[in-house]
Amino acid sequence: METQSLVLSLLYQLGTSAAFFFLAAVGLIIILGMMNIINLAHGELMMMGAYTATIATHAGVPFALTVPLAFLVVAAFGAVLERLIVRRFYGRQLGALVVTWGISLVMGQGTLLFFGPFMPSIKIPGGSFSYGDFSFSEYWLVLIAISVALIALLWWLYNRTTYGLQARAAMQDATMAKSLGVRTGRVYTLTFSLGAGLAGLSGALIAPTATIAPFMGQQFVAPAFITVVVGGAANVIAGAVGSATLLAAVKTPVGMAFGAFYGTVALLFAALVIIRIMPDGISARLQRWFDRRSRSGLL
Amino acid sequence: MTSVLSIQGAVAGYATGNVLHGVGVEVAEGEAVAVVGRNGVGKTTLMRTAIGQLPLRAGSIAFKGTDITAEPADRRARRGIGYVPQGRGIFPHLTVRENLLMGGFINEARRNPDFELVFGYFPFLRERLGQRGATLSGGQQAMLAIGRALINEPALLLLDEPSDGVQPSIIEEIGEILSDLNRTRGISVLLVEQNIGFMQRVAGRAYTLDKGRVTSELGPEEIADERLLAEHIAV
Repeated sequence: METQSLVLSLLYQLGTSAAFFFLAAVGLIIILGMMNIINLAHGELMMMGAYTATIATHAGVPFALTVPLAFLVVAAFGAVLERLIVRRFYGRQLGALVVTWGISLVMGQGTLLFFGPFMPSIKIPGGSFSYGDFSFSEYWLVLIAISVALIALLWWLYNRTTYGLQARAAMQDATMAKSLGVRTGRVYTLTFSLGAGLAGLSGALIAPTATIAPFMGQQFVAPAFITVVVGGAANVIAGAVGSATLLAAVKTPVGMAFGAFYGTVALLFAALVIIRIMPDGISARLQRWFDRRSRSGLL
Repeated sequence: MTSVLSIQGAVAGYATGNVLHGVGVEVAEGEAVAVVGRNGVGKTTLMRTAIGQLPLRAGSIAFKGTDITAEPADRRARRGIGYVPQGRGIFPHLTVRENLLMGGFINEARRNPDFELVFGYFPFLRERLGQRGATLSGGQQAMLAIGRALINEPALLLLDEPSDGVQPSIIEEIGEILSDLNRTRGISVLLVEQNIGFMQRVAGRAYTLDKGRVTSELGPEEIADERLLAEHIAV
């Protein structure tokens, strides 16, 4: 009984931690992996999603509906940003980095001006239950399930739809994709909008567990970037999943044994080691393995 | 004969200056035309201008009688122009199947990627559908690029040195396939080529290009004249 509940608790911690890494990174990784744009406004887009969900909840909308609402609001905002500003910086990675940083400043300060320094937070939906000595939050279990569903949905979107095929082709060779009839401008607008919307969705999902404030997005930026870099760009979804799982597998046991601070130290150290061993990230390693198998006819 | 592609007085180039100084090239329906010339005379620039990767600074381009001078590359491709670029332009991380599917947006009016048509010419592709583009050899990539441009039966194929970096036996095979596509399927071809034997097998007519200008037009008899051709292509 006691070992069983300890194992369950460890798995639960691992799952919540991996879900957090994945949710924090998913919007960023779509935009970086599919457009090669380092979106420094990612944290603020998450903040915008959190604000949308919080304001709507306070206005009486059921929380479950505020999450898709946050996706739509931030996706629409992302589409406008792409059309007006971001598309002028394609192919200039440093320019895009600076301009998205500028957008993040405007969004953070604008929120401070408009809504003030704090907003009453919303309470975590659902209760908790205990098993053995440990207690489990129903909401975090839902977040784990949503993360898994999102992974499946994104895999389907990028591997089984026309948009996904065109987006991956445009990422690899935009000029060639355009010369084969792809409306690359439209693909980029959709991709940026999707990445922004996913950041908004994640922000809404994390909102009940966080303090709602104009600069709340900053806390997600570091874990998001670590997840993205460790995952690599060869296959962004596989990379994000592998990296979120691996980082959680390092952080969770250390955190449980020595406290959250040492968990974070172990996480950063692990990221350092992984990047040193696999400079192109986990997904590039996976891809080489897959190529060897497909060439030798095993797949 | 109606014109499929008509390039008139084309002036185009890069930030460093113009490469084409008023080039005129005509391809009639069902015709296979070659453009020959030494390295650096503007052959690839001409092809990139034809598909729309480079804007025209003067002159005009018409496809099947419609002026497409101001249209971007994607619009031209959807009208029915299949492009096989120098270096082949295979998407390295897409599978063979996905690379072929990418040809499905060419020739919008048809919208029915015909895999069997491609496998008929390049049967090896059927066994490699799940393999990534980057893992194919140079010759296989050249055939994949042609298959991709072909899959929706375009009205015109633009081919930029498809024989480059391909072993001789495969070059011969590709030449026969292109010739067959042109004769039995009526697909018009504009081919840029340095390999004389390959060009002779495919084209019925040729332009020679030098320093960004058309210097002569060669008919079927002149194409067969190796010495004359060598004069135009020799470095």
